[in-house]
Amino acid sequence: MSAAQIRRGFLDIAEGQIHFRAAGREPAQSEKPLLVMFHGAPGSSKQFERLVLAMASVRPVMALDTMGMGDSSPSAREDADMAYFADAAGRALDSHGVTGKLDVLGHHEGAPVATEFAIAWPARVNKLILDGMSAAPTERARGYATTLDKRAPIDQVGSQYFDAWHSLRDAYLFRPADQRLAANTLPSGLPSLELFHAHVVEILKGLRTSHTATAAAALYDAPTRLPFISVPTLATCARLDGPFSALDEVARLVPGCTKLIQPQDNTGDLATDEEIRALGKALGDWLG
Amino acid sequence: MIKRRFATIDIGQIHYWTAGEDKREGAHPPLVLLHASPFSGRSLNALTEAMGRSRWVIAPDHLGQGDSCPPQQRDPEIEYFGDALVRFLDAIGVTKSDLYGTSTGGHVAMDVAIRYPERVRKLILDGAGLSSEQLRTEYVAHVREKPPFDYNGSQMLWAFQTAKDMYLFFPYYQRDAAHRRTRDLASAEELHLFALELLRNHDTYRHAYIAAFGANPGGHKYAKLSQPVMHAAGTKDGSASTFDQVAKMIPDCTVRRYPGSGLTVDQSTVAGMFAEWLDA
Repeated sequence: MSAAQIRRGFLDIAEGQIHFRAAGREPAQSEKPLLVMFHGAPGSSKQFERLVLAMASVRPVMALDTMGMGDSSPSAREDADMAYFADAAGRALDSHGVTGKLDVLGHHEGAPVATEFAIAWPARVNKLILDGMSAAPTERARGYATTLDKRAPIDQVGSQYFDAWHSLRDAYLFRPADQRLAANTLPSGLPSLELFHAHVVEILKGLRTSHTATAAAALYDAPTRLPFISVPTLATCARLDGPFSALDEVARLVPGCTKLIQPQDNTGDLATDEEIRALGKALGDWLG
Repeated sequence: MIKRRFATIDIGQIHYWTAGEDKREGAHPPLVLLHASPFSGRSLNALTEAMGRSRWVIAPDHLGQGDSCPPQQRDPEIEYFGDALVRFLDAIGVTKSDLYGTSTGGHVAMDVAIRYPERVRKLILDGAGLSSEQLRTEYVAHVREKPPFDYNGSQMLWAFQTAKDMYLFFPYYQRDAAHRRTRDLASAEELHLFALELLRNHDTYRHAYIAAFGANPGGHKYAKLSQPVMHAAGTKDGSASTFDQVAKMIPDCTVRRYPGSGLTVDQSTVAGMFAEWLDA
């Protein structure tokens, strides 16, 4: 397989396996550090495929499925916090022999994982990118986190298939997604059918187990943790992305942080291929 | 403990489930388990785990099913899947093994056993039978139809309904009294995982399925098997009515019947029966 294709694989840790999607040269053959990515929730590294490929032309890239999501094993504990998920990722990379310096990127719920990774291993992290990170948890986020431990129903009539489909649909159409009022209208339409379908599949994979990391991210107290970051950090967000209003605060809380408003308006599945390539270049330029 | 792995061949990645990896150099040859369509190696997890206690077990997903890459050829025949399996086994360093196959997996296993006899020590065929030309033609025509795929989410209903009806009717697309099966519906968890496999491979799952239906018309391949063969089937399996006919066609044949049928049998109980014969 060529370096321009996605390669999938598993990293073994004591409590299970962490699944990844990678592209680019093998880390050992590259002058640039491996870029490790942590995705948003719910979903998996599948939602990073286009960005992985866009950035892999100049550096090795590996996007990990957070434990409990995509094809990774569930977390070992129901009450796992973001530090646990960062630690699991670190152990997984150790098991793969990845011990050199890394660049780390976290998107949405992956941003707290990336933050904890950088705080736990400052000597291991070259540069950190926080993309679409939220600030202090709102009352709404706290309430949301408490509903997540009621595991999504799986039944013999397949209710979960329609639930997953409509939950994702409405997340593109309203904010908050479960309050479908004119006042909550988002300006976007739906992503391409292929990207949308693939995203629903990834959500369904983690239906029983994704709540642990999602709840930990929703409760993450970023203002108390971000000041502990000691590596060069880029705080970035797309203008129409949900956490855009938190960008200034995130950038202010991280010592010596650089701020970048992304060149495109939309993020994730809603961004076009061309916009993802431009984003990859902008982020790559900062990483060097 | 079962682990998931990927191996790379020329056309992409093959995903497999494995147990007993640490027994690579053990007394028993590796055992390769080949699953039925339209499932994946996951459907053989219990058997993988049970057999993995004594040997290295490898349960790959067929091309286009589970997490394996799709075929790169239009209308591939069973030999295409057999050749891909051999390249996969080369990639993980397996030159000779025991083979187990059920349904589509049985057809791939027979193809490899006949064309690469030096690579196969013993063969277990689970649920091998004879099907009429009419059923094969009708089944293939049905599987060849592209499932719906649209913004209405029609594929969600298609995937779940298809998964469910595999338990309730045979063939699953003939939903009248004459084709009703009498057995428990799968658990919510199992239906979820099965429908999810169909959903994510909606455009590729059919290839191995179709190849299997064209693989052994009239059962002509059974006579070509040169290895010791265990011909096993559940007493409620769809193949039960032709079980004895198949047994007469296989030169070196040991027959075994077990209660139940492929989808619902407790695989850990049949594992002991398979292990005993393989190790005799």
